[in-house]
Amino acid sequence: MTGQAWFTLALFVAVLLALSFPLAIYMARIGDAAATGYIPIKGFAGKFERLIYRVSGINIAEDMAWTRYALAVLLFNALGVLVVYLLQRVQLWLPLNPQGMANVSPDSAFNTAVSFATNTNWQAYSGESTMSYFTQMAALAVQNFFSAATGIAVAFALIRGFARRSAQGIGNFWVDLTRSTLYILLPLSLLLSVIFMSQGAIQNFDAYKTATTLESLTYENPKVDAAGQPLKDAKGNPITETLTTHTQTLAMGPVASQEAIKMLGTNGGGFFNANSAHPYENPTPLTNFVQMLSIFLIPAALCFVFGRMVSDTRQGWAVLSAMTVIFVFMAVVAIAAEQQGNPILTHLGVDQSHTAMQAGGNMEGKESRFGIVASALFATITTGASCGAVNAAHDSFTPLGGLVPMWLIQLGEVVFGGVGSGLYGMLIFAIMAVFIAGLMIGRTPEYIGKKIESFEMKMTSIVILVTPFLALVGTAVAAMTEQGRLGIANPGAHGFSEILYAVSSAANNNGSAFAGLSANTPFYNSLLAVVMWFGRYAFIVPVLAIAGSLAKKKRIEATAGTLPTHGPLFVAMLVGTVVLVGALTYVPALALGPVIEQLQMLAAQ
Amino acid sequence: MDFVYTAAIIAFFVLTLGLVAGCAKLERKR
Repeated sequence: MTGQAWFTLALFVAVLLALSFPLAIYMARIGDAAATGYIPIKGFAGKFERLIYRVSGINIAEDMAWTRYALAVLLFNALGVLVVYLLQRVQLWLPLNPQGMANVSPDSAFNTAVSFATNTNWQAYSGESTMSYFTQMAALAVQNFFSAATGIAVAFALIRGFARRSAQGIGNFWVDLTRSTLYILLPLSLLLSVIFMSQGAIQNFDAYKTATTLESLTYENPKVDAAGQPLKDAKGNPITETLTTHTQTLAMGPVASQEAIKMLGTNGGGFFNANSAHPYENPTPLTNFVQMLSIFLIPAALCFVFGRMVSDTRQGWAVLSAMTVIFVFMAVVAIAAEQQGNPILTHLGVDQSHTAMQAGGNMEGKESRFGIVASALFATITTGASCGAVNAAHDSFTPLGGLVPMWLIQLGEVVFGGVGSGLYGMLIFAIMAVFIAGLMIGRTPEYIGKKIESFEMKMTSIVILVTPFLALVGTAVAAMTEQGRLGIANPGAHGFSEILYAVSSAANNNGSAFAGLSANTPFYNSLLAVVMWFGRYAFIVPVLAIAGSLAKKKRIEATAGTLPTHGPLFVAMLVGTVVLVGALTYVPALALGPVIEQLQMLAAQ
Repeated sequence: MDFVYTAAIIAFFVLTLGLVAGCAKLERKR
C-alpha cells in the first residue's frame, strides 16, 4: 500500500462520515413523519405530495400490517417490471429515439426489466447500442428511483419494528415510497447531476455524432438481422464482420441525470456499456471520488437514522462501525493485491514497482485516468454496496483482487450495502449475532429491547439462506448445463469464477460482472432474472415479517443480563457473524475459482 | 415469447405472495 492509497482511503471514510451524519438527521425526520401521518415538508413540495396522494387515492393515516406492506411492495414492483418490459418491446415506435434503436429482444427485455426493478441493474446489453433515450429515462431511470425508494421504505419499516411498542402496523408503503423519492432521492440526484455536468458529463437528446479519426481502424462489428436484433452463433456469441473505418461514433444522451441516481440509489446500471470508465459518465478524478462517496452516502446515513429512530444513537454507530471495519480491511486487501501486480511478470524480470515514472502493479483492466488505487477502491465500494457500477474490469484484477469484490457481494451486500437493503441486511445479521450470544449465555436473546424468539429466528434463517441458495444452485445449474458452459470465454478456474460472480451478483442484487461471460442469451437472461427476483423479494418478505412481529412486542428495559449491543464486543461479534456465515457458505465455491487461480499464479512463477 | 415472459413475471409475483402467506401462517402458529 502506498501513502497515496492510505490517504485516499482515509479521506474517503472521513468525508463519508462528515456528509452522512447531517443527511441522517434529515432522513430520520422523513422516516419518523411517515409513521405519524402528517406531511413533513411545508410549501410547494408538501402540496405536491398531498396531490400525489389525492390523485392516487392513498390514505396516509393508514398504518399497514406487515402482510399488507409486503403486498404493496410486491404489487408495485411487479407492475414496474411489466411496464419496463413493455417499454423496451415497443421503443422503436416511441419518441426520443434519434438512432432508431430496435425493439429489445424478449429475453433481454425480461432480464433488464427484472434487473432494474430489483435494484440489481445487471446489464446483459450495451446501453448505447440497445436503448432509446426514452427507454433509458422513462423505464430504467424511473426504476432506479423506485427500486432505491423501495429499499429505503423497507429499511424504515424494519426500524419502526424495533422502535414501536405493542403496535399493529409498520408504516405505510405508499407514503414511504413517495417521501423517499420526493424528499431524499430527487433533490440529491438533482444536486449530483449538476456537479457531474459541471465536470463534463453530457446531458442532451442529440443524435450520435461522428468524428473523423487520425488513423483508420479495423474492428469486428456485430451483425444484425432485418429486425435489428444481433445475430448469434450456436454458442450464443455475436456474429461479427470485419470492417475498417476512419470515423468514430460518439454516443450522446441524457447521461448526467441518470448517472446521479445510478450511484445514489446503488443501482449501478450505466448509460454506456463502459459504465463509470466512460469519460461522459465519469469525466474527472473529482467525479470519480464523488461517485464513490455517493454510493455509500445513503447506506451510511441510514445507520445513523436507525440510531435516531430507535432513540439510541449508539446502536447506529455500532452497526456503522461493523460495516466500516469490514470495508476498510477488504479495501486494503484489494488495493494491496492490485499494487503488488502479477508475480509471474516479476519472475520474468518486469519491473512492476510503483515509482514516479509508472503506476506499477497490475494495470490490466484499469482506467488509466484513475489508476490502481481509485479503481480497486471503487471496486470494493461498488460491491460492498449493491451498486455494481464499475470504473475498471473486475475480471482483469489479480485472483486475490478479484476475490474481494466477489466475496463482498456474497456476504449479502451488508458492508454499507444497497440503499436500505444494506441496513436491513446488517440488522438481520445483528439478530443472528444476539441469538448466538443468547445461546452461549443461556438467555433469551434481545436486540434494541425486543425479545428475539422462534418466529424471528425462522425468518432470519430464510433471509440468511435464500441468497446463498440462489447463488450456489444457480451457479451449479449454469456449470452443469451445455447452455451455461457455452457462455464461458475463459476455460478452467477463471471460467468458473465468471459464472460464480455473475450468479452471486444477480442473487445479491449487485449487478456488476466479470467480463468474459456471454450472458446475453435466453439461458442466462432467464436464469439470472429468476435469481434476481427471488434474491430481492424472498429476502424482503421475511424482513417485513420480522418488522411486523417486533412492532407488536413490548420494549423491555435492559437489565444486568442484557448483552450490550453498542460496544466494541458486539461490533466484533457482528463482524464475526457476517464473516463466518459468508466464509462457511461460499469458501467451497471460491476454492474452485479465485483460490485455485491464485495458487496457479503462484505455482507458475 | 412476450406471452411467456409476461406470464413469468406474474408467476414470480404469485410465488412471492405465497411466501407472504407462508410466513403469515408461521406467525399465527407460534
